[in-house]
Amino acid sequence: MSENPPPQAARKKNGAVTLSMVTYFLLALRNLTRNMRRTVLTLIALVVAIGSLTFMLTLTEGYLGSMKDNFVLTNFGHIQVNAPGFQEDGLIDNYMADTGPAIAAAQADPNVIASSQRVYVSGLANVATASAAIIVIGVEPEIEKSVTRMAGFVTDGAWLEVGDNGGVVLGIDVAETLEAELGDKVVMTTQAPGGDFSSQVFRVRGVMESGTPEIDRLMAIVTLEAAQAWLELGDGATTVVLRVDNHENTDVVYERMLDQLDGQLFETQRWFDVDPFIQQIVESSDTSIIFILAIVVVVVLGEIINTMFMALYERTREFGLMEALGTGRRQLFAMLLWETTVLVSIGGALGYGGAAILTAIYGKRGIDLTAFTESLSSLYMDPIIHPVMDLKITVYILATIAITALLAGVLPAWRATKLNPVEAMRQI
Amino acid sequence: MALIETKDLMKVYGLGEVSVKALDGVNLKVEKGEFLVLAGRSGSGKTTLLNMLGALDMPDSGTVRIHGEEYQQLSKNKRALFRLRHIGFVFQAYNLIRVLSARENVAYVLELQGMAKAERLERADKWLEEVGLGGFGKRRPDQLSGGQQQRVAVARALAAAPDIVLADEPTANLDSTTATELLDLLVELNETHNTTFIFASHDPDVISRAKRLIQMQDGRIASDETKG
Repeated sequence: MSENPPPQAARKKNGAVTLSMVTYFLLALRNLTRNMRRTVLTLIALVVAIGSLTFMLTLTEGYLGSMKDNFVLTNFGHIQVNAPGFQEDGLIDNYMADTGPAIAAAQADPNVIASSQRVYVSGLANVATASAAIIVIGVEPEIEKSVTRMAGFVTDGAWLEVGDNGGVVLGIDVAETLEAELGDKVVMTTQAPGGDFSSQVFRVRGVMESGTPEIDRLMAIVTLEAAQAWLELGDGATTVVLRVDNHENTDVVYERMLDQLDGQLFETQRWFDVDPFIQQIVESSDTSIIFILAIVVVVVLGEIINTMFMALYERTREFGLMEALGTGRRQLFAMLLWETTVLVSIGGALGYGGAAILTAIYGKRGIDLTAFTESLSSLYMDPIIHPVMDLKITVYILATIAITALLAGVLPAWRATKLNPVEAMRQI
Repeated sequence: MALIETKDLMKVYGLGEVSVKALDGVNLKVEKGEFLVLAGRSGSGKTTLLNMLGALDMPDSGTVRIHGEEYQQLSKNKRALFRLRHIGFVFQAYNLIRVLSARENVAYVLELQGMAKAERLERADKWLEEVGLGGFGKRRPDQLSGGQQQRVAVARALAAAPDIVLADEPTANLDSTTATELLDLLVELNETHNTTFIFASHDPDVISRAKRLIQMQDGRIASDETKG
């Protein structure tokens, strides 16, 4: 046998040699094609499960994103700075006489896109035949366009012009209650600082419909200048509103604003501090996503474990042969794990790819849920949902695929290593 | 030192309340280059002995020494490596890995031994040529006849350069012409490469080719005859 010496060079010190990844991959791929019908059925289950899970995640991301956008950009902004106590009691007495430091801090922040001053005060709107409870908002008409979408909600008439200190834009429900039309006079009464009642006449310049009940039923928007003059606030305002470049930076900007305004009489709040409802929906949605992920993993796991055990049972004799030939336990283990991984990866990739295509199509086109507009608008949801694919979803799906492959592969692979070659080769 | 040496080899199988001595104190020495046939009726212990010699099964007591090395104390993994280093197998049927081509089947054990790809493919081709299957390398087992499959198994066993080739009823599933051709090949390989062959068989054709014939009976060596 000297002309055919045993190869030793590539062997490790303990004598173990690992099969190459190409060999594992080749064996996995070819073994999967042994029973095409079973492999295809398992793949279909995987594609449907991973595909629908991915699409559901992109859909959720889409509507949660739109909810946050709508809540923040409809009216509130990402961050509001008020005088201490104002957010709690809403009294005009708690106004900021000097908003300069808050405006300066906001303008200096690199992640703040725009900031505006507002005056909030509750009151009553009257016409000859009707009255309605209102919240008056004094805004800087041009700057406000960069902070929120309020100007875009005007459906009748026009948004306020700079210097139009006699005009008002009413929420659509307020206008309907008052039966007020464009150009009509509306008398608005409120309490000025100190408790004196003060009335002012405004003409209706526009009517706005945001789809958000609290805006449509309560808002009466005037210019900041008009509000300041009416309520004798000088240059003061109740609120400075900040728009941040994206939701993820809200906390960073908030912390910086706290630092900048430290020691001064301001109260700074994020949008979810003021109204935690949307944030709770986002957080509960994260919890339900993990729950659904777990269900999908369990269902898919059952399917794949079944498939792999069938494969193990059918090939017991071959595993016995491989072991007899010198295939080690680790190699047998790796072989079945590879097979599971290839199966899950193909199914996962197809499912993910399919969902990504659907997301791309419906991301542009949107999914029309107009039939549910009433209930959706109260949740700040758009009636047309645009699914969004992002890194977080990709990571979720990759993790699901990896966990599923690992869990589904380990048990059959472990069983393969426990086979006795003599008994295994006796199997028919 | 003998290539293989067994001492007081015992193996008992329990069948319900009855126990059967498959091997009952087998002492055997095999030298390099032998062409040995273990013969005997079914249940005589020849396959059990072959499995012991191949480190596929463990004796209840006694020792097997191959090349001076005992495998009984080794872990399952190390026994696999032991087989890989010392032993080649040709089984009765289902000898090949179904999803691999003839060439890949031969190269498989070479890869397990850590041989580089180009070298193992070259050696696989060489051995397929040697067993008369040059040009059949790309065929999968289901594209080969039973005799051709056994030849691939022989090529695989020899390509790994083992000390011993163990063959359990290698001709049982072959027609007589194919069986004769396979035996001619094995005799030739034994003579040209001095490879040690040990068969377990009750095929008269195999028995007639034996250079040493051991008759097994009730788990014991009933006779041990070396032919001239």
